[in-house]
Amino acid sequence: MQNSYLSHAQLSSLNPMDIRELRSQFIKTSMQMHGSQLMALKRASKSPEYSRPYINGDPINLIDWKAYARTDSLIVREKRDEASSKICIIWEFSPSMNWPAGQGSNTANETPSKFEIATRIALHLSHLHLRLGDQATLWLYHPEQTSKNMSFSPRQPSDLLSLFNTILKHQFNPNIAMPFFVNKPFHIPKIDRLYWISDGLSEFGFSDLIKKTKRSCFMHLLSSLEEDLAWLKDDCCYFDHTGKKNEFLGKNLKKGNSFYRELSLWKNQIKESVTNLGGKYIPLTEKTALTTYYQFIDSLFENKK
Amino acid sequence: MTQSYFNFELSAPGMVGLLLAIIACILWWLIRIRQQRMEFPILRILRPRPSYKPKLSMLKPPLIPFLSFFVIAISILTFLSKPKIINIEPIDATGSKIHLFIDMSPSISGKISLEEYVQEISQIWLQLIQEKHITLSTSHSDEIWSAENQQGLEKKLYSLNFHRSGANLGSIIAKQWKKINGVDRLILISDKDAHSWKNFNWSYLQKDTDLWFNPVRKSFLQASNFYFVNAKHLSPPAATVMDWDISLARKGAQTEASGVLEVSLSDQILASVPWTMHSEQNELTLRVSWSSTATPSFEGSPPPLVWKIKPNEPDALYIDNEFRTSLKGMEQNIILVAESGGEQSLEGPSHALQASLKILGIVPERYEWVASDEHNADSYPLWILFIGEHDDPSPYCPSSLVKYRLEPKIIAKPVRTWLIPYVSNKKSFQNICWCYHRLQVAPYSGTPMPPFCNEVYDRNSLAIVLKSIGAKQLGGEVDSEFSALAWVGSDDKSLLSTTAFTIPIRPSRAFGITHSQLPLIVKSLLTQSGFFAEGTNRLREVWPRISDNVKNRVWAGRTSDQNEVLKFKLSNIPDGESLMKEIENKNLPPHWQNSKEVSKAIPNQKKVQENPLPWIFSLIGMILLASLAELLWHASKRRGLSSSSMLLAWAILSFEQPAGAEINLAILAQGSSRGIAALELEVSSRTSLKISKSPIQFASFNEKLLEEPWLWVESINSIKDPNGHLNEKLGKWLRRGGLLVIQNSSNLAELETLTKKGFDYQKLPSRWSPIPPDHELMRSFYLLDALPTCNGGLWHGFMFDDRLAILAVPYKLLSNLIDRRVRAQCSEPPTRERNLRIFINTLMVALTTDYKKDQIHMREILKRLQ
Repeated sequence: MQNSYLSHAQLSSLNPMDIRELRSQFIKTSMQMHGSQLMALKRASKSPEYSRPYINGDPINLIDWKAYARTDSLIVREKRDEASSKICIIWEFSPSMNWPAGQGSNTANETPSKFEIATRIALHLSHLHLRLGDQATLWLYHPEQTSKNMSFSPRQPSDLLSLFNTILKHQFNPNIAMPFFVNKPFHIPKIDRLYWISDGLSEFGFSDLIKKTKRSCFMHLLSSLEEDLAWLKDDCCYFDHTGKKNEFLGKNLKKGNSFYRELSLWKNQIKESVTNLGGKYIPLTEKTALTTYYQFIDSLFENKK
Repeated sequence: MTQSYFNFELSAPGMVGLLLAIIACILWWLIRIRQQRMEFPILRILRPRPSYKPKLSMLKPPLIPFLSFFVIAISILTFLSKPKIINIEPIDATGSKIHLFIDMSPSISGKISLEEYVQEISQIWLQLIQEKHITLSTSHSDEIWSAENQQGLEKKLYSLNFHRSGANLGSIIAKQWKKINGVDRLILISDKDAHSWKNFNWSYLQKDTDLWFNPVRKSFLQASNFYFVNAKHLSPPAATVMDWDISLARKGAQTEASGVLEVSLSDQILASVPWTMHSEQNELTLRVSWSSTATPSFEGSPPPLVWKIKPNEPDALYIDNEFRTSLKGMEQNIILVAESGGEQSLEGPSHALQASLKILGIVPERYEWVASDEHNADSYPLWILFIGEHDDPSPYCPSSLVKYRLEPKIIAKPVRTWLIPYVSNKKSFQNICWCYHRLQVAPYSGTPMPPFCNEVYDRNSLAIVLKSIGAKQLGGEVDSEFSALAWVGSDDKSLLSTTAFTIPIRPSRAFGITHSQLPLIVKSLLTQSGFFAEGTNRLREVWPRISDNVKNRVWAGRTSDQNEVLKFKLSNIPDGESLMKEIENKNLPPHWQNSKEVSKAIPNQKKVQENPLPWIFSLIGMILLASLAELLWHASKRRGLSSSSMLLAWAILSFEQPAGAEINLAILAQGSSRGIAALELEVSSRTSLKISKSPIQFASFNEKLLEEPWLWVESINSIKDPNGHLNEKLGKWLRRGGLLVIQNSSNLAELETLTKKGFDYQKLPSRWSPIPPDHELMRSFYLLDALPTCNGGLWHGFMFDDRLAILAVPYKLLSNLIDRRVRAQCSEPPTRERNLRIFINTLMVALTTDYKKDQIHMREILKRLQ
């Protein structure tokens, strides 16, 4: 049943509190030692699941001598403890992120805004890390008006639940979330992991942050309407109010593949710039399958094993 | 072959409409484009490309609405653009007809001699006659004739000569046009005299014919024109010296001039007076006197006095140097018929009037009575008839006058009659009504007194009756017919006018006429009836100035009276002809260059018909069809109602509904109403209203009764509560405008208790009172002199909000009307006819309150009277 649900579920239905489908949730092993970060110190263990063949140079206290006596082969049983990490989740709030809410078109009104999806993802990730014992800080980042930048550090999952319920009740109106956040200048201290959720349409200093962070991930969130122009009306004009003030008739935009070519080129450029700096990149829309999203999240924790 | 084409002139409103339509189209298109814009932020990643331009492009609108819009716009524009159908008919050049109109008015004689004029016309005729069929007419009459040869033409014109009466080209040609309609070319031979061309809308003729004007080439001599302005006879009838004041005037040069004024009678010169007119002097009055013994005596009517100006300088227009007046100057033949006052003659009603006439220099012939044909009607221009309370008033209303109207003479002279009541009482007024009817309306002289004259009781009822048979109000206030001094009617054929006075014309404190005012009133009345000329104290001359010979009855030889024909031919020249004023060329038709362009081709086609009606109907049809098409399109697309479909629906719904004038009779009474059909028949035959054959009748109070504007209640008990007050719902209905008729009720105390509650006496005056004689109930349809009482019980009305809200009838009026067998329980029960009239008046009051007070049409009435 669950597999069937997942195979059809999309990101637009992501419940931030639901982390059951993630394999990573089993990483947590002890109450004392927890966190998403594995510590460098290794210690012996008797549990067969941590077994591996002996490699020259391994400390001999890690060798399972009883197993050697039985099997005549050197088996090392070692365990690395986990540590609490500092996580920063930044989700962008710009006018373009609020699209296509309030555009008057039937198709546009039926499609959730990018901000809604970003909110779901941000809260989901922070909930996940809270469960893992990490310290998560949420940043609502406004690229055009820095004075509006705000942060929120949830202490427990119930804080997130309360925030999500409030935002959901008010149709993901960002202003409703304000009481939960503290308005302060955007500053990221040394952190272990960074998530940046954005549509990439605004100018941002993501490269500097990637350099400063050990593990970083850029979630490139677009609307499905921006990736497929079939919904455009031929006789309607489409414009972008910033910068170049381009205005096109729908039929002209749909003509040929030039739009798709340029879109693909632009996404690749962003991907390259992120991966070249050691970051992870994933393109997302509200129609992205949840399984794809979960797989990507799981992949982020693969190194831990 | 007839061709038709569609033509329209784009008028100023049409231009504005076109402009608005264009602006509307542009706005419509822009709004349509602008409405469909949407933000799409991802576009900022795209590099701007020329291939995406233009941003806006013309869109294809939905076909049917656009076509509907287009058709409606074109139709409305065409409406604004005066659409016409013009049929073009080709003209057969060989068979074309030309008409020559020859003006023979006096002003031409000042420019060209008759010989020269005839020669000029003869030349034009000769040149045109070679190819065309030519008809001719002159300003003498509406006779259309054609000349067989040049001699015949010249002979005819010489015999006609210039006429002395003026010529108004507009009215003459309008008269002749019926006979010459269809000519291909009309050439007017005339001068540019302003008097002749006054009010001539010649451009109207250009639609139907090829109109040209051949002006008389010569102009007036550069000299003064001397002419007569006025001649006043000053001497009383029995004077031994004849004194006349003659006013001369001149037009033109302002140098000093002199001459002689000569007066002659049958070629015998009576007086000759030299005169001098100084430079800058334009008018001169001369006193001419001669002994009356020098005047020869004549049997029958004397010949006219002929006045002649003989200036020492050349005169521009000689024809107006001769002026005719009658020997006595003015008519004095007034007949006054009045019964003698006997010993009280000095206090008789006619005495003061005679004195006033004498003050004005008129001594009327006075008779006690006149035999039927003793006097010819037209021997006396004014008949003053005092009509008293005789059983046979015919000696005071002579049949000769009736005969004069019924058998009008070809040359009619205006005859005026004044009908003055001898005393102010019912019989006198009835006799005046009869005499007025006899003189102005009756189809034969022996008509008995018409029944409606029996309706006349007093001055007011006389006014109503006379007005109803077409008389017009004289004196008094415009909005109050009862204040009229007299009622005037006139017969256009015989020129017999009758003025029926509503008060005796004598000094009277009752009527506010003093001894000093009477002569002034009489003079005003004489002036009003055309006896005195405005601004003078002279009576009208028998040798008038005739300004337009078309209007004269001598026209076209319709009289055999040679004296009348002679008088017309020798009539005095109109002032306008003497003024030598010419109009500018731009106000004249195109000039005909007869010497060079005599063979100017007649256009080979002409417009014969303009009829826009089919186009108007077809355009209306197109608009309706287009609106319907758009409506169906919107319905099929489920887009709701468009503006045009709303318009269409409105147009369909606003088609005139048949007007219903059927009134339900609401009755609160016991019994049946089977006899209502008879009442319905009476009401519908007497008025334009109709009473429903099925009345709303209930035995006890029911709210359905209040759906009608009036309610008839048989007994007061059925509408009052235990306290004696009016039913609350009924009171609300009354305040809203209903009329309650309570029958069989004359107890005032009971009625006052009834209305004690619910009608706020402080805010709105409301009270019970007997119905006054000037109440609208007495005159809303029939004129009622009184309402019938029943055993001393009066009719009471409860006035609320300045209208009659409750009417209390002392007997059962409606029962009598519905069932003839039911008679009112009164000592003198009123007749059914009287009840019927009261019922109809009540119906009118219920529907219209006092509609005669309504002043909304007063402005239009005043405009019409002016």
